[in-house]
Amino acid sequence: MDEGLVVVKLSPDEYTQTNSGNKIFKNASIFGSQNIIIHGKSILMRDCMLRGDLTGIRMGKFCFIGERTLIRASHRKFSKGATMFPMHVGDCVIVEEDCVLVAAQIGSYTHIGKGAIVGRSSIIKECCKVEAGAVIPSDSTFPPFSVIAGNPARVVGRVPECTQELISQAAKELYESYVIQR
Amino acid sequence: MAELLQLDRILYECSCSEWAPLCRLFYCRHCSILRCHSCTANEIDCTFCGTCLENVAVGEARTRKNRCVNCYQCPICCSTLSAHNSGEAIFLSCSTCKWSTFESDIQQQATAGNWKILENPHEEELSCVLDQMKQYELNEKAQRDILKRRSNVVGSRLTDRFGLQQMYQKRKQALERPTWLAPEKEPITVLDELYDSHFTSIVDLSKSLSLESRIMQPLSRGSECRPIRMPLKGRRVLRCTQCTHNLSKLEYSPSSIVFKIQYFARTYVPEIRLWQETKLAEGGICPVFISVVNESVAKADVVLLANNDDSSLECETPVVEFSLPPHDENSDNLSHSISSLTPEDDTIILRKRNRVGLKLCVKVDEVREMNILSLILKWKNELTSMTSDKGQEWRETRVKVLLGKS
Amino acid sequence: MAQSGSESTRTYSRSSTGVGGGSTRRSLSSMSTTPLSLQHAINIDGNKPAVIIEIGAQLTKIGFAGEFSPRNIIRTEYMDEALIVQRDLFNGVDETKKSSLSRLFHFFKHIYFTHLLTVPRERRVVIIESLLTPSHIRRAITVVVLEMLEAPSILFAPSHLMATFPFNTNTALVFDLGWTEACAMPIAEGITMLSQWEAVGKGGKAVTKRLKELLEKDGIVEDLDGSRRPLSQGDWHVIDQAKLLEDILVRGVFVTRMSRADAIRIGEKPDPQPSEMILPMGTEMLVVPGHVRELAAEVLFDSSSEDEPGLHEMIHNIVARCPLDLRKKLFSRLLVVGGLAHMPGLLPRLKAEIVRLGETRQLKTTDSVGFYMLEKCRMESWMSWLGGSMFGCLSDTLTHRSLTKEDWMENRRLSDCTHWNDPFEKAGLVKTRA
Repeated sequence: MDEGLVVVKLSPDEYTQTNSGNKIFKNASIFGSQNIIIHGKSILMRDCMLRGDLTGIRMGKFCFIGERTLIRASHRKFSKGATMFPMHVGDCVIVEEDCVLVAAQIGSYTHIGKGAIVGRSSIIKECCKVEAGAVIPSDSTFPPFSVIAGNPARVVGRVPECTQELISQAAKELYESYVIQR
Repeated sequence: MAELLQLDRILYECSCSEWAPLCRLFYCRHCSILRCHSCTANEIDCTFCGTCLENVAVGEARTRKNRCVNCYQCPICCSTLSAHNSGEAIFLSCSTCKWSTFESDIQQQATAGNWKILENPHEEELSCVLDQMKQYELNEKAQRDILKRRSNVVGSRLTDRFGLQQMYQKRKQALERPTWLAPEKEPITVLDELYDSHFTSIVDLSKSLSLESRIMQPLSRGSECRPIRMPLKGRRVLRCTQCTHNLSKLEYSPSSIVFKIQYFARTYVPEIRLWQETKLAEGGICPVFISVVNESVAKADVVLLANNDDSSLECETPVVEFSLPPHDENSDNLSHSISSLTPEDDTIILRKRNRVGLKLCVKVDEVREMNILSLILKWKNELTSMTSDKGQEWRETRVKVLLGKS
Repeated sequence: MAQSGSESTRTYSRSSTGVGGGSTRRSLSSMSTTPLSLQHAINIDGNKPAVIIEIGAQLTKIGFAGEFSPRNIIRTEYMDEALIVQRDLFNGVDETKKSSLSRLFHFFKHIYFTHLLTVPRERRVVIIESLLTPSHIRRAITVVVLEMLEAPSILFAPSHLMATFPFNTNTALVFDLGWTEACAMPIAEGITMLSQWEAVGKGGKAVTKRLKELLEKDGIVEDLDGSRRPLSQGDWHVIDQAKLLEDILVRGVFVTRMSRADAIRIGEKPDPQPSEMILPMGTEMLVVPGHVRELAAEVLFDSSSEDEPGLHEMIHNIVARCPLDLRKKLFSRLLVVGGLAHMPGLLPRLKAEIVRLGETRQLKTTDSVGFYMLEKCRMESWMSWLGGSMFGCLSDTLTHRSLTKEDWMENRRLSDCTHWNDPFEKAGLVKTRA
């Protein structure tokens, strides 16, 4: 659909807009918000959960986190125990509904489909596309421009070269199309 | 958000008559035509490992058989193996299927890299056979040459003043059958019969590999598992076959997404998108809502014509003409207002910055599984050619819009 | 390993100036750290080694000439941009319609750019094919490789002949047990006896079909708590998706001894019974009873119908048509290649059946039945590829016998194995029907 011409109205009882332009569902479960940095103009939809209490989460601009998605930072097991390390999400990342993201890093201009599970400590580079229902095993790395699908997820194709502009535009239009009514 | 970016619903016709969505097409400014992956020359730009994102030079990749030395794959499930310490030694394990090197013949070793690969035990004898085949080939070649030069054979009666005797001797030697022969393999006549224990013992799935694992390791005997070196990936550079200019080239580093050269079609051709999902009802005129976007940095004049051929739906709106302002990065992104809410006419419903929303009337006789609406897109944009005067010409291509059932 | 790698590249540059076959021998010692196969690959007059491809019905073997194992073995399918797996690559191919060749074109591009990481324009191509390939498929492959991919030349090598090269033998009865069919052809004194071929539709596909029939009757499903129930129609969806039939064929099916097979045929249940095979199926476990494992491969030796003889009968039929002096030689030099050759117990059973049939027909030629085998490594499924790779090293032969792009564009003539103008025939490589 052409998001640039669509307007979705959000009710002011449920959604709020912060100073940096983030549109957040009021009852979204955000724990440890002091450790969460969102650079601005992002949308957090209904019932999503961000666990900042475990460690820091850093998101870029124009991100879209779909409904019921869980974002949690990952840990790595060493011989002397486990350490948690912060999660970095780039700009213009579109995450659809019901995903579970435990990655270490999600690059910019990535589109993650419905119900995908991104395993612990995995690194997804820029301009990737994770297909709906993909289950990415832990500690995996994916190079830029990959299409990732399956269980366990593998690289099955390449995204078009113009993905960066495509997704960046889609993310901006998505942000604009959600309007909180006065 | 039903389906984000339905990229494959709108297909453009490339100059090689293949149909592809606009995001997968390129535009050659020198030839002023659309190009797709099938009609461009692909070259491998750089080879790199998908896991460690390390650039490997082409020559080195060839010696290493296109495999990474540092990263390993699980032979059972193909996920990346991670290294762990156990006391002094290091072993590899898979976090998905829990296979570890303890289940292979090399359980652990001192260094993290350089795990031994399976070798071909018959390499020596095959090498000998190959050498013999080459000798035969030289022999055959000498025989062919002799046939060609038969008229020039002088004979052995001449003295060796001109060195002819030496040449004659050399040629005679080349024609002799090579005396050294590799041993011929003996067929095996004594075969062990199938023992009872072969089929009464429990089928251990960890000892007998699946077909996927076997084809990943051609040299395994069906039960041997070693960590597999990660195969390298290649990055492609596209080049127009007619004018040999590059159409798409990324920067050097494997993890970079910045393009040195990019001639994407969407920056030169107006993009048609589906605005709303169409509901087709049999027998009658249905509206189809599409939008046209101009992504280039120059103004575009656009004409959309209906193309009513046999397999497509009949479009009642014959022609729509409009012009679109350029795409402006700095325009106010937060403006919620849509510039023109009142429709200009029945077809052009609304305008917003560099895009326009259209309503086309389509006559539907019967609703099939895949309904196609064919259009001809004509546009004029000064960027479509390298020379500015040619840029004022109209370019044309056909577009197919795939409408579902409901 | 990193050190030896750089060392070999240095010596590579030194020896590339050497001349022909002689320097291969001298430089062997200095390049002792590089595997022997790679040395052959490097020293072909500085030219890049050819690409050797064998496209089978299920698996495709890909690699470079001079190497003694294929770089990749992949399934004969690819995933297109819409993430749909495209399998029937040769369906409806027509060399005049470019659109029908698109799946084949994409498959070849997938081979070059995902697996070989090389540009088609740089290397000659050798395609290992069965001699029974229809000519429209050969021409379609030629159009794709020479016109669309712009490779410099193409050579079609007969798979049965190629399989004999690793054994350094001139005479053998090559028996290819593949997915669609079992095809056998005798090769005598280096000449493929084209008029003596025989093929029967008993391959992996037939065994899988029999396996499915047996499972439909006797398959059992076991739940996590151990309770068992018979396999029902609704379970087949899970089995097909997880490719379990293929898994059972590769890991569990075996060819039983002749005495046991005879006993089973008359209704007995010989002792000991084979163990059952349990493998995961979705959230439950599929139990394959022992007798199913034993009987699935019996379809190969079923001699019930006239036009579908058992494998042993096929071999006897071929040998019976050959000249008298060759018969004993052919029986003693059987070469079984192909994916199905990996089944445990196949070769001993084949020998026993051939000997028994020989005794029934009162032949003396079956006294010593022997098989060509490379015992230390199971290479049967890519033996033809291996022979093709060795053949692809002979750069002069390749130059002389390949069809170049220019020649094809001019004449559009692809010589068949029985064509009078065929260079294979000129060299005495193929014998035409008398």
